[in-house]
Amino acid sequence: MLFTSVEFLLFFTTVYIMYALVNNKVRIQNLLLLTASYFFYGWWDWHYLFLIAGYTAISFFVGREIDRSNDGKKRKKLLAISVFSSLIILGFFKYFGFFVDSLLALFDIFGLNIDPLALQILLPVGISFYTFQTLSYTIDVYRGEIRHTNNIIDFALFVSFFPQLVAGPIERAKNLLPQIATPRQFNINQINAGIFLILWGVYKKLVIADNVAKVANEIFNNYALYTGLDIILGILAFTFQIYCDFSGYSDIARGLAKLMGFELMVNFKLPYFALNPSDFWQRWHISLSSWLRDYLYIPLGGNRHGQSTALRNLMITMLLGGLWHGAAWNFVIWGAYHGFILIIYRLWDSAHAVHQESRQTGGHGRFLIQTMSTVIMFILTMIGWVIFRSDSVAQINYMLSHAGIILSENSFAFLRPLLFYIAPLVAVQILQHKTRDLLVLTTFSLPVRIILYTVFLFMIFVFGAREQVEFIYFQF
Amino acid sequence: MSIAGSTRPPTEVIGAVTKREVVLSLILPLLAFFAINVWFARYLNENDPNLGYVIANQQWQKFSDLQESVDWLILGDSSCGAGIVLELIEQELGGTAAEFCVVGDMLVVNSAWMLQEYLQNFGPPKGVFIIHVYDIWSRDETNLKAYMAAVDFPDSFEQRAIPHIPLTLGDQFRLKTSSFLPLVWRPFSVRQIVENSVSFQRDIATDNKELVAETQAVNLFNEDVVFHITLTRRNEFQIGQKNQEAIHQLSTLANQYQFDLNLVIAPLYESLFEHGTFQRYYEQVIRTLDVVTEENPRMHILFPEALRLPREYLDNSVDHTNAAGARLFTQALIEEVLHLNLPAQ
Repeated sequence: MLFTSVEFLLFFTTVYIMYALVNNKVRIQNLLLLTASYFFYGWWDWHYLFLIAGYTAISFFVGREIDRSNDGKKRKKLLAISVFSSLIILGFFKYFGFFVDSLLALFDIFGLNIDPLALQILLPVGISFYTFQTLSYTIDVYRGEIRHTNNIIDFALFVSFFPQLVAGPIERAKNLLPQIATPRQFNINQINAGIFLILWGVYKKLVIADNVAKVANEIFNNYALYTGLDIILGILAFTFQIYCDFSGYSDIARGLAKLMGFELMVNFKLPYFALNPSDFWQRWHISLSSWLRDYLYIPLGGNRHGQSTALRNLMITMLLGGLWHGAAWNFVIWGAYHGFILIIYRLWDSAHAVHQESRQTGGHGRFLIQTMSTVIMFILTMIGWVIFRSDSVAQINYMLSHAGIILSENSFAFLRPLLFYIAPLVAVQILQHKTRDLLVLTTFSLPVRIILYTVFLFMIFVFGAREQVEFIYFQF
Repeated sequence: MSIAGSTRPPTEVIGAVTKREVVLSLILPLLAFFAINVWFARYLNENDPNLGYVIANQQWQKFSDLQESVDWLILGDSSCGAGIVLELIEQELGGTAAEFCVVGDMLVVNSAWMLQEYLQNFGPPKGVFIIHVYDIWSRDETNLKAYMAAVDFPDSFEQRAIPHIPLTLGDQFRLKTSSFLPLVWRPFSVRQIVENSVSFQRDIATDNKELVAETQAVNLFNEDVVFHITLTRRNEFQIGQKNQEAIHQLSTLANQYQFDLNLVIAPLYESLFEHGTFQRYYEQVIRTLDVVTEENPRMHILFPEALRLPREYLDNSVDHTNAAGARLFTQALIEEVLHLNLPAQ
């Protein structure tokens, strides 16, 4: 059930009406949301429900035992049980396919012919997201940052809350659990922001992502046919496709949550305006990057033990961040690439102290430095997406070595839809960047908002892709 | 105002609004959206860039306006619309002729529907010709539903039409709302209108227009050749479920009303048959139709080998004849009729 489907519209409308009818009865509301979340998840495949229920039960009981125990060793052992069981389940579903071919070859050596289909395991949608979410809970309980919740309904809802279940944001227990446990109030300001986020998210997904995807798919799937500017346009198309697809999903998720009185964390903060690699990761998929920082980078030692250890930790974190996306070599290389540019930036930054310099430079000088930094970081990000989207090293080599500015007879056909779909996004984002307010459009006067929302509706219905295309991050 | 303003990432600032503002910002865009729909609905009635809808609507209108029976009834898809010269039929075979050819996406189903309506109103004509191009037989009813929403059929037609197209709740909603919600149900037509009005393309210099149009026609034709070769290379032929039902309905009607029904294979570009995969696919189509016609002596296939035409008799596609091609095809059809000893006057 995609957020952009009619089924979801009917589902959410029904749930929302029922939710509003039991306003101020938080227990009933939570039970309703839990039922709705399980229905939502079971819509994909009801078998997955056992998995998420299992995750919930393990984390709930382990969390309770950790919280109750004062024995340091026991607490550590319990934490290890929780972490390893979660990672083993995640690893099994996520990385099993990676080993199937090797396994089949091995069986073949011993004369055993196994039907490859028998070894196919369907990746449960959203598993990477809720695994990390439950892990953060047990780790936070272990660290004493939060107390265990005694209400299993609340906890199960924390794990399965349908707006963010299948593609995040990866919530932290200390943010979401207290909101679940306490009565929510319908807040008109929050609803106003929620409506905007839903509209803007659907617009980004259906109008921008799914349309520029046609250009990206054509060029990435038939890359050997293209050279010069066509390749750059293909990379540019994918750069905006993945951003609008993923951030569109996050916006819708956050908007839906706001309508019900919940605040989920902001997952994207204009990442293509980042000035450097470090800045990029404070703006892109923030719920994952901050998770990796808090539960991997810092426990590894962070930057507390000198620069070389910090750089090693950075590389490990980015490699695992890449691997989180799946057991494919390109994700690992993508992680390594970002680790590498982060390291280079750190070294360069510490040597040149660029921040201080840019702050000291006033007026046009500062503008030039920041604009140059943004452009360079954008190009580096695009190179990263080539790695992320390619199917082979040969493809990466080809695309990066054949990209250029030479026009072909196809270039205009690719450029036209890109301009048409991306230009309005860029205009809105420049405004958001200038005002440093992601909700700046909601501050416009009522008549302007009415015109804007009408334009959104018009564009979504007329230019929105009609084939239901799953959100890219559902696969992770 | 510089693009690069601050080094800090932005945040969300939730501003204060009133309930009234929120309600208005929800309701007024919906009302405006509805008003735009109404405007486009009126505009599309006359100017729908999707010619398929226009043709289908016009033909159904013409069909509904028919006051008296005709001698030669011609139904089918766009290849039929392009390929038949009514005057020639009336001149050579005598009597009156009428064609109600629509488009391929309405399948053979539309031919069965029209024939059923015609027979109920006027009884059997002297000759019925159902002309379809080979590649529509495999299609399913996906696009037909879009046409059902766009075409103004006679009252309660959907209930009595056979083959029956089962409609989900969503389909029924679409049928009931399509005439005043074109932004929802006919987005491609609206999109085309918007795109044409904000086209990024520069106008082609006037003195080059003929040359450019000629080049475009050549390109379109070549693309269509490639399309048909690819289609037949990638797919095994299997008759679409609704087309299967339609052909059985045609057979039933021929028996019930006691008349001869001619399934006419539309003319095709001769060079297609040089491709083995095309030839194989085409033969599969004819074999499938043969099974039905062999069961019913009132059903005949005309041009099972297809009338194979060189490029100069064709328009921008492999199955649309130009004026000269249409005369050639109609003349060949007349000769077939005479050969079959249909009751020409």
